[in-house]
Amino acid sequence: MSPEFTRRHWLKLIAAATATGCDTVVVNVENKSTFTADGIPPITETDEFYVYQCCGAPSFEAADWSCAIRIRGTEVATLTADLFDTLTPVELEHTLQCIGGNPRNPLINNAVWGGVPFREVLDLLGVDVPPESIDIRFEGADAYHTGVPVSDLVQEKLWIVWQLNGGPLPFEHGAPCRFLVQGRYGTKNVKWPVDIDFMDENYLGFWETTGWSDDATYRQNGFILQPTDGSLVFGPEVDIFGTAYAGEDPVTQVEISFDDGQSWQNTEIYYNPGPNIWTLWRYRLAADVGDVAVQIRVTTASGLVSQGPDGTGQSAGYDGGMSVRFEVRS
Amino acid sequence: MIALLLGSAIAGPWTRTAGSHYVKGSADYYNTTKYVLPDEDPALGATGDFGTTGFFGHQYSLYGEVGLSKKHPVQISARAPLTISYVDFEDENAIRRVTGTAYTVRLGDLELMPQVALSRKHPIAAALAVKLPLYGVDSICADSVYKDFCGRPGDAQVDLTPWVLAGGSFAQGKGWVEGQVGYRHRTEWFRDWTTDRKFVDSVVFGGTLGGQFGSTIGMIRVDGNKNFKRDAFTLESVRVGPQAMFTVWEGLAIEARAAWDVWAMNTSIGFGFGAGLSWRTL
Repeated sequence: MSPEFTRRHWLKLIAAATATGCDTVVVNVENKSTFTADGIPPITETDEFYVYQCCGAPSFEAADWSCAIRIRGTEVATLTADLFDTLTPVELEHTLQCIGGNPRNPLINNAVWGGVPFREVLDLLGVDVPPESIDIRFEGADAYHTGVPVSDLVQEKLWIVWQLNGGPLPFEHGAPCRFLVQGRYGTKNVKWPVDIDFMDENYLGFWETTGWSDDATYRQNGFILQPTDGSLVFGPEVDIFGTAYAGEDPVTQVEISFDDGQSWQNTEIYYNPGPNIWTLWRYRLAADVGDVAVQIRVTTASGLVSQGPDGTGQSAGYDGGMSVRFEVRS
Repeated sequence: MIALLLGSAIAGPWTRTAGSHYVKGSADYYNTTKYVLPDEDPALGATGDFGTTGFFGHQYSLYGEVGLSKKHPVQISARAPLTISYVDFEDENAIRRVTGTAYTVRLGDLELMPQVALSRKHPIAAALAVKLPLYGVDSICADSVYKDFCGRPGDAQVDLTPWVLAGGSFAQGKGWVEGQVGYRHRTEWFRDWTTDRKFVDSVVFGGTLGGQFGSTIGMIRVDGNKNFKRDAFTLESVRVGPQAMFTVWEGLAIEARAAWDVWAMNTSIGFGFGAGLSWRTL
């Protein structure tokens, strides 16, 4: 049992023996991200950007990569990496969040991607999307598959990217290219695409058939990335910081509560460029020695407000305002 | 879920009559570093991503059997434990690596088991075990991000298990063997646990080979259960170990036992040992 177990913890345990019981979680934290005294860097370093793979990393030679483009199953064009050499990538700052992310595993990062709206690529390849098409079926080289509404293509929310933070897209992020879908969780952002099919019906993919949201529109949520729940911190001042995000719905306010939601104070929002990019906030607490419980609340431009710390219904994405408890020592 | 497995309320097939009783207070310890899951079959929902690196638990329990009738052997047995668990865990994601320990203190499952002799000549009995959780799961580590790592005394579900028990003695009564088999029905009545899990019924079994050596009784005990259907969360296990009872004075005895999980699924696999003080009518 490596974390420090204090007399206070023992007293709690002994008291618990009499009635309803009690629990304590004590943690040691090793941060991997480059948090600074000012908080979270707005742009996540490439090697710190989260990676989630449902089905393992695929194995293929980069020179052999190609992606078939089909209409109702019939191949009408082939996308190869040569095309990217002829295009000038446009920088797109964009936040990705995993639909399965939660307070324990807050999978969210922000980066500058290089690519173009996928509609431009289809125009170059001479692909005419039939007006009756409803969904685009994407399949990756890892056999992951999902569907994205054609309307996202039309509205240029669907991008194909081959650069990340000014460098080539790393393999673990989908090289030679991947898709970004503005406003939708990572489940819709396919990596290593090898097959794209325009379908006349809605398509349910790998996760959607197991109950995860097909719409996958970002929900309003907020994470506290520091301090970590259960950790020990040293006063007299404690810097609390984290993220807030709601996809295309800009975050307008992040509040913090130290009394279980009875009263709220505004945090300092220090990065809030707009839709599809995360909001970063911080709060400097002048803390007395002892236990501190913190909860946050996120409000968006459309008036949506985050739910309680547990959120409601993980299958559509976390929609809570996270809470943490930590101990302050002098 | 990690449940403390040592101990059960199962009584032997020699059903007590009025005036006969047995009571015991005991402390048990359990240690493991491994949690067993089915092969990573997505159809079962198993991910293998539990992250627990060690589990150590104490369990303090009171157990009793008392005969209820002079006319026919009828008894009731009961067991109530207090569990204290320590779960060491690692949790790693893109932004941090966390190592921690989750400490949990809870009352466990109250087990009640009325039993009636089926024969006056032979040690054959029938019983109905009722497991009543004295805890809720939703309240365990409710405020912690790491609630999934907190030890739970059990599955917070009411179980009903009809048993048949039989046994016999040999070597002029110096040795005996007994066995029990039952059908554990998972009722889906949960106490304070918001879950859509549907646990699987199982066959439960136990057996003892024992002998008396002077004032000491030695036993080898096996307990286990096998589910009727494989899933990703209903525990299954087989546990074997020695037990001993050292008579100190009249009916007062010191008891000791150890047990190894020789097979397990959807639960921890490890080693436990315990000691207790008991009083029985002779």
